[in-house]
Parts: sequence; C-alpha cells; structure tokens
Amino acid sequence: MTRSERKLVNKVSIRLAAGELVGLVGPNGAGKSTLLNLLAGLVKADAGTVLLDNKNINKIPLQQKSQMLAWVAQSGPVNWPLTVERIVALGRRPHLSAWQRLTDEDTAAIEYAIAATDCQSLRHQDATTLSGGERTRMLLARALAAQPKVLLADEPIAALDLKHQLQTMQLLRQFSSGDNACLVVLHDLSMAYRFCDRLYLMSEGEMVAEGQPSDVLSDDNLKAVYGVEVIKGGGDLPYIVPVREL
Amino acid sequence: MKLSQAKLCTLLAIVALLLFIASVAIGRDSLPLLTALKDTLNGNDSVYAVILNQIRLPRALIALVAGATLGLCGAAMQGLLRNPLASPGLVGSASGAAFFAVLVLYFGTGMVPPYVLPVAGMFGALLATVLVYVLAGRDASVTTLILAGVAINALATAGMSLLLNLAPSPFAVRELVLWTLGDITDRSMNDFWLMLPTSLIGWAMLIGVGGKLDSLTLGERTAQSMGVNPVHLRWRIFIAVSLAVGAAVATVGMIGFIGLVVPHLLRPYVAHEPGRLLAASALGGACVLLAADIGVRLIPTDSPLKVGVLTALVGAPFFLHLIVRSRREYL
Repeated sequence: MTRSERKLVNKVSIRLAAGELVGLVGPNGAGKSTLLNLLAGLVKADAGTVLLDNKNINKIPLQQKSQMLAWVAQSGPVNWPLTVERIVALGRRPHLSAWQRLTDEDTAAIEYAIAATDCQSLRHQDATTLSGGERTRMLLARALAAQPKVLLADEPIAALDLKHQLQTMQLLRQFSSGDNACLVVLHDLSMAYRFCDRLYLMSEGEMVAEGQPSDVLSDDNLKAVYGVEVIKGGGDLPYIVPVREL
Repeated sequence: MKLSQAKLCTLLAIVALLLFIASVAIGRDSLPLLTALKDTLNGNDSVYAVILNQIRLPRALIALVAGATLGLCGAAMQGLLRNPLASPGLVGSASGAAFFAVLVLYFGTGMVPPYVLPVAGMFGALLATVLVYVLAGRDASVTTLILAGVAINALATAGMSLLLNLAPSPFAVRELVLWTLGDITDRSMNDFWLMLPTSLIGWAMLIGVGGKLDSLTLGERTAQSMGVNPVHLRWRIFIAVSLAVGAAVATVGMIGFIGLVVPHLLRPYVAHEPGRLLAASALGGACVLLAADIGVRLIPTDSPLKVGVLTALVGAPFFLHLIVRSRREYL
C-alpha cells in the first residue's frame, strides 16, 4: 500500500490462526496501524489479498464481516455524549437488523464485555468525559460485545495504567482460545514477550522478523530496528528495558 | 430528563395534532370547524367548507410536511456530520430550489400555471444535488461534500442576486424577495400534492439509517468496521435530504433554523442518540413550523409577517446561544 509515493506497507505476509494471540511490534511509523486497517478491510491495498476464513475480505458482505471481525482503533472520537453502556451496546449492531431490539443474548454479551473490561463503574457516565485509558477500555468492551472470532486491536494498552494493562492483556489472552484469535499492536515489548504466542516485527513498512517472542525480540533485531541497546531478563516474567541509543 | 422513545414521540405527535387543528381553526376569520367539516362531508359548498378545504387545510398540511422534513433532515445531517451546527441547507438543494423558483417568478409571473413554480423549485433542488455529486465525486469525504454544497449555495445565491439586480420593477423585486422569505399563505391542495411524493421519498430513504448514525458516533472508521458503508450512508442521506428539503423549499420558500434548532432542542430527551433523534425531530419540526405559522397570523403587523422571518427571528438568537455555549465547552 502506497500513499503519496511512500510505501506504507510493502510485501507483507501475515497469518493468524484460531486460538492464537499474536503481537505486532515495531517502531513508530513502521506501518503497523496501516497493516491492521488493511487486515480489517477498512482500506484497500494496491496489491495483495486479505483472506478471512479463506474468503477474500473485500468480497464478504459488510455485516457478515463485522460479525466475525472487530477492530479497535488506537484512539477514536466519541462525537455525542452517549453513556458508556450505550456505546458498548453499539457493539451488537452487526448482529441486529435496523429495527431489532436487543435480545437477552445481546444483553448478556454487553454485560460480559462491560465486566471483562472493568467498565462497571463507568457504565452510566458520559463517554465524552472519559480519560484516555477509560475510553480505550470502553472501545475494547464495544468490540468484545460483538463476540467476534477475530479481534484486531491497535495499541489497546498504550494509555492504560499498570493494573489495567495487565487486566487487558489477560483478557486478550483469555479471548484468544478455541475458535477466536487476536492480533494486537503493542509498544510494550515486555508485555508482548510475556503474553503473545507469536510476534511479528515491522520496520519501514516491511516485515523484519516473525516467530517465537524470544527469537523475534533478539538483541540483534532490537538493535537493527529500534536502534537501542536493551537489558533483558527472563524466565516466567520476561522484561525488556531500553538502556541507551546506539 | 429521559423519556422512552414511544412516550416522547406520542407526546410530540399529540402536540403536532393539536397545533394542526389550531392551524385549521385560527385565522383572520374564525372557522366553526364542525360546521365546516359537516358541510364538506355533505358536499355543501358553503363559505366555511371553502375556507377549510382551499385555504386552511392546505396551509396546515404543507406546514406539517415541510416542518417534519426540516426537523428530520436537520437531525439526519447533524448525525451524518456529527456536528450540532449542521443544517439541511448545507447540501445545496435548498438554494438550488430557491434559485429556480425565483427564476420562474422573474420570467413568468402571471403567465405560467401555478404548479410551474414548485416544479421548477424541485427541478432546481435535483440539479443542485447532481452538481454536488459531480463536483464532489463518488467517494467524496464529508468535508468535500460540504464544500461542494457550499459552492453550489454560493452560485445559487449569486444567481438570485443577479435576478434581483436586473429585476424590471420594484414590484418584481418585492415579489422575489418576499418569496425567498418563506411563506405558507395562499397555497392550494395542488401545492400540497406536488410536494408530498418527493417529501415521502426523501423520508422513506431515511428509514433505517438510525442505527448507522449511532455507529457513526465512534467515527467513520469504527462505524465501517461495524458494518456501515460510509460512502453509501453519505449519499443516501445527502440525496434524501436534497429531495425532501428541495420539495419543502420549492413549496414554502426558505425557512431557516428549524432544521438546526429542533434537533438540538430534542437531543437531551433521546439521550443524545442520533438514531432516536430522527423521528422525534421530524415531529418536533412539524410542531415548530405549525406553531410559527399560527404565530404569524396572531402577531398583528401592518403587512403580513412571513413565517420564515419569524423562525429566523427566534432561531438566530438560539444559534448564537449554541455558539457561546460550545465555545465555553471547548475552552
């Protein structure tokens, strides 16, 4: 995909299998968000195809696609002062026709999503007054309420406090089981290392590495892509801390 | 205050009905409604029956339909543009309609049959819509659409200024200006039947867009990921508004501020949900135009007050209040 002669995403191949939580990492401007938009079928690629359940995503009817796949923006506007509960309920729209009211099943999905994202205390609050982190949790709840098979989340933990970062990663981990799968863009490499089954590392629109977190986040890769030296620790609780620029 | 959708709409419908009855009953000469109705049903051409069928009824029906159109289209535009300051006039069709109506008045006063004026107005509305489409292109963003609408507005206004400038006599100028002020007097049932189909098509096109407008609250991209095709939605609303507002303007002239103010007033009662606002705003618009049209009959002035002037006089200060309030909110 090219915009203004800049190749935003070039010759990328990415695969997401059922039951997987896959992380997409890389520096700012690497093309992670653009790739996520492409995968969600929100923008059309100049070349290449995206397959969802072995079908070309641009050929799947919009409503059917939105029942299977949910996309969570990095930061999105909330244009009218609806309550958090109403915004989360919007997640059920793909499953409803224009006049259909919410069924018990819909309500249960909404309640689950609100509880899972720790939004109970916010449910009656005006969504335009939320903090960045609260808004991210609400948008994630909206996506979960849709009960999709595939979740594409763009930096869902970037604005969150420590507790909610952990909660959200655990939630994504829990979501990515059975038939479900999740692709998540992350900047926190420690979290990516700890929670993701596999990682993709992007730089300047191209895929630099893919595979197990330990292989992808090697010292050489991090030096080459981020231009920093890091301290790493391991075991059950891996961490990666940047030390200095190279 | 939160009302259920059914309660709110029932309430507004009752108010609209009462205002409709009042609009039929109130005028320079009081009309005994029951007698007039009885005479009409018995096929008796009494004075009362004539006043009811040829003067009061068309006026009230046109106010009802035009008001509902303005309220509905205002709510749809504000939902689409996600902006409380948007109005149905932005699509350019209103000024297109006005320009063609003025053109007919300029060249053909007294010589053409009465239905030519609204037909020309509707043609102007459609032409303006087509021009906006051509100017903006199929995949236009909302901003491009608005810019195209504003450009067409400017062109139509310039055309109207030219006609005023070249008008042969002060009487012609007066007639042109008075028409553009917005007025529902001296309309016939024919005018009503002419505006009705196009209005209904516009309304029908807006059926079922409520949920999509709700999704749009989270931005176009997110709405798209939730199954809304933003390009389809944009054109659907644009064409619906063009048709309905074009029909209204072609029949009653330019009536400002209803499309802006009514959705805004009702929004808190529908919990700010753009989808629920549509029906409420349509009923609210009908109430306001019916009330304003009764108002111009009750306010004693030397020459008759035009209903568009009254809505602007009440609406403009409200608009200012909105701006001041939103400025405070964004500080």
